[in-house]
Amino acid sequence: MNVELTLLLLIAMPPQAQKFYADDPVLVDGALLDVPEKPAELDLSDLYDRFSHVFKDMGKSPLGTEAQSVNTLDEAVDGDWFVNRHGSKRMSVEELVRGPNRGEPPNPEETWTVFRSKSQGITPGFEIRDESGDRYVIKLDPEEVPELASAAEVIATKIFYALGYHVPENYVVRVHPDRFAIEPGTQVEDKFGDKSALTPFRFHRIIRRIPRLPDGTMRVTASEYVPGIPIRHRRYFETRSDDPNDVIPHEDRREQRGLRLFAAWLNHDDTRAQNTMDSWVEENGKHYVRHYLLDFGSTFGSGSVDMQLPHLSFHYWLDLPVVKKNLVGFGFHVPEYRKANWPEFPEYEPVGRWESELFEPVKWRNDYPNPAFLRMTARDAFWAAKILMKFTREELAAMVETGEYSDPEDARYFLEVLLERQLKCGRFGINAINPLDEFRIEDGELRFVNLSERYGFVEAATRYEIQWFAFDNETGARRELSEARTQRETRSGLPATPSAESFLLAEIRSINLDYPHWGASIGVYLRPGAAGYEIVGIERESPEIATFPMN
Amino acid sequence: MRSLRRFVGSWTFVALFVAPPLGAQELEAETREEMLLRKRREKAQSLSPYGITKAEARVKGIEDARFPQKIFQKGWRGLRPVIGGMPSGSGTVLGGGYIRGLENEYFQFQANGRWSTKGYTMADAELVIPPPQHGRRIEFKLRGEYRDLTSLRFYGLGNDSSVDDQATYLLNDQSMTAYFWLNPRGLLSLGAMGGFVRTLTDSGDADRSIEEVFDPVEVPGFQDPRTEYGFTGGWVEFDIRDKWEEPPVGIVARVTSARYEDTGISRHDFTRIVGDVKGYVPLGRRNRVLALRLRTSHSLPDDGKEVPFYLMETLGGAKDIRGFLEYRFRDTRNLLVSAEYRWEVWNYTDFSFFFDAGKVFHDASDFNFKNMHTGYGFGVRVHAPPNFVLRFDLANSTEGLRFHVSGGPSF
Repeated sequence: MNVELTLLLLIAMPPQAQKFYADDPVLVDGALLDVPEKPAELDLSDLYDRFSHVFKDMGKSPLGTEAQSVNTLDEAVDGDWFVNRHGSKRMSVEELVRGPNRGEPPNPEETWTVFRSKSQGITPGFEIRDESGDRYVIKLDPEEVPELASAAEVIATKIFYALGYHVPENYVVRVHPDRFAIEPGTQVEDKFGDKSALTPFRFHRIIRRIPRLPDGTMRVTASEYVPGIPIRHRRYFETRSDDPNDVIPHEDRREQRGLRLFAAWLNHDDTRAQNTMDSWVEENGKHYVRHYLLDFGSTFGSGSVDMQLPHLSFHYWLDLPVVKKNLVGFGFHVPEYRKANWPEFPEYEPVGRWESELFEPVKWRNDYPNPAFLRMTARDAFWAAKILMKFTREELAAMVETGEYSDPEDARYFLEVLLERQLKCGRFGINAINPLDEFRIEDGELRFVNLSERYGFVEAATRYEIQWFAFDNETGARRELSEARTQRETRSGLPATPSAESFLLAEIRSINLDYPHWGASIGVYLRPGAAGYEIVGIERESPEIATFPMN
Repeated sequence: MRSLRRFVGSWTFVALFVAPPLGAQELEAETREEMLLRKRREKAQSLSPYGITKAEARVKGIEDARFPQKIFQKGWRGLRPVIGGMPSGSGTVLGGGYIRGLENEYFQFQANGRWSTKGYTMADAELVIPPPQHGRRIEFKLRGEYRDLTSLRFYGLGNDSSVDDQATYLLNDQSMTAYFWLNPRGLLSLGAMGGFVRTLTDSGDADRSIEEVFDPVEVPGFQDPRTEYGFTGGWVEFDIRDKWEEPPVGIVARVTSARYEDTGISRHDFTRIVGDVKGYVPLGRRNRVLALRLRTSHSLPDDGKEVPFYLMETLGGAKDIRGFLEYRFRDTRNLLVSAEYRWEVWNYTDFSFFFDAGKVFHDASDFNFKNMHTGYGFGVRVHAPPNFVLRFDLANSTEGLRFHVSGGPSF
């Protein structure tokens, strides 16, 4: 939705339009329509997608407009794109470690029947069916760097799941090559796209260089098919034209924009359409499209087929401004990524190129421009930052353990970098905007938390200017109930109201010498109810610097 | 405009989960869910396939066709066109071949036939065990070759030859060579080779032939048109470069020795020793590297024997002194130094300034840095993993400007 259309909506809004509805705030999207026919699979061209995004912003909304897929609390809604998990309801360590896994991995003691395969190419792999009939994509680590991609894939899966995204079940499994059987008629696709019969000889030639553990097994990643019928990719811009439930342009979705900060934290440079998966699912007799993220092999220090390329995450695959600087610099201009101090290799090779020293969230880049990332505003970044800061050291350590590094030193180093990057992302996102959150009503007071102070991201003390209004939900009119009052406490008593039906509005500005933009107000709307007031809306004023260009 | 955006931004709850009613009809909505349902039902009336544009479909078609690698690497059932593969200066080379073992085989076999616009002909067959692949530590290769090169250039022997004396000769040879290569620990590589070659030299069929410009007596081997050689040799290479980041920096040094036995007429027995040292020095970070090379080759004939002109190493062309023509300088010994200042422009492109100097000589006493021929220039290198390099070099020397398009690194 562009500015003009939004303005039209506002202008068209009759003066008596109510601001909040009875079912606000919406926490769960319960308005999904049935999609009776399976939508078509979207098969993208890698080259076209890459170049079109390099030379053009594929999104439609002007930079600076805010996300549309939020509720009146400025939060993402549970639904086909996202489910609020660790960010809103703390998950236990056991839940975090289990992640999306609902069943068990394919049993390595049973037969794995290969029914699809591609040979060397970039990443050799198979699709198998276990004896229960469950289907998995089997991915192999780079031949010379065991653990690199499988650990990254599994750890990233756990974290993205806890953040709230729909992800497949991914497992690290050790399986003996003899456990594989080949379904008659199975074909193998070579790197030229040609198919031929997959024979036992070919199969063993393909896996011959995969490192064997002392017991003769191979370490692989088993990625279970996502529930429903996969219909392949979606773009990070516009909507699916064949999905009635998809009415918000993807580039204007909060969880797609906030993904930029999560991707920066986890160095998921491969956040592009080809690594999404939509699935046509059925629940309670209703069909709809669920939107997954997948293929996390290129996260952290892993580049999936090798260690991450050093320049990725520092600039785009084709970053014309960087090329220009290099061109005219005659070598005297040092690209940022060249300054990175990577861990010692080969000691930390299974972790790959994973560092936190040079990492800056706002300068982080994915493989090529992503329209949703380009549109991340301070509010989107704040939303993402407060979620990622929910993870404690102990929780992240437990999730890193699921990567099953054979050397504990690899896991230790991995975790330290993850924690340092978490702090940088948290500081960036939380300090980007007036950092008040966790509003609640207790003992007749409105209470809140300064997240920046909680996490130690600010040194100077903050004061809060609070002013109360009576708010007319039908007309939008508001009337002062108190003078603006400046205080140090993060709470304010509710004022007396003119009538029991009147909404209350508290406007809060944070005053901090180091962060003058925290003076942007936060409006907290309180609705009267049978049990007293409840918070129905949180309206964050965008600061002057609301966007973070990626060009 | 900024204030407008702030205004709009502060009311983001305006759409869908938070959108205000659009018009009178929507005023009837009493819940947010109703509003959203209406919006979705409205869209449900105008659904269309979620697909790709015609332009994207065309690009995808090219991708799926795996062009050009499917044509030039794999071909149709292994039958494929071939471009290049003849000695430098052959003109445009085209041909056809057969390959087997590109994927998941114990060996790779290929056989090719090539023809050039200069009328050259070449046929070769090669067996490689195991097939070329990343990370292998051992290779055995058997290669047979037939070449009919009808107008190779010759400028005379010695460091003072003149470009005005350009002449041509024919070289027709058939060879069979076995190679064995071992790279046990990465730092040290060992290689061995052996084989035989049957040669025939004759008058060139383009421009002036050798005998029209030079006294044949002064061109060793030209008067003995047909002979055969058995040859053996080996090399050892130390590679102490740091390869954890591109480009690798450090030193690579190789010493090669080869022994040629003239089994035909016993006039051209000699031993060749080649030393080649390359250093790559990062100037600060690796976005700029100073690459240095020192190479020298010494072909030492047995007493009473001589090194035939067609087996002498030459200087000039895209691989050494780039400001000169291919085969420009020729003698039993040579010395080459090169320096390149390379800087990264893009991850797949480097630019460079280079300077080359070299000489050829006969007497060991001339093994020094005097009377070197020099050239300098500017180059662009396009590279892609794992080993693809396309190189464009514009070089200048006392004999004018030269532009080279070639594959592989300069050094």
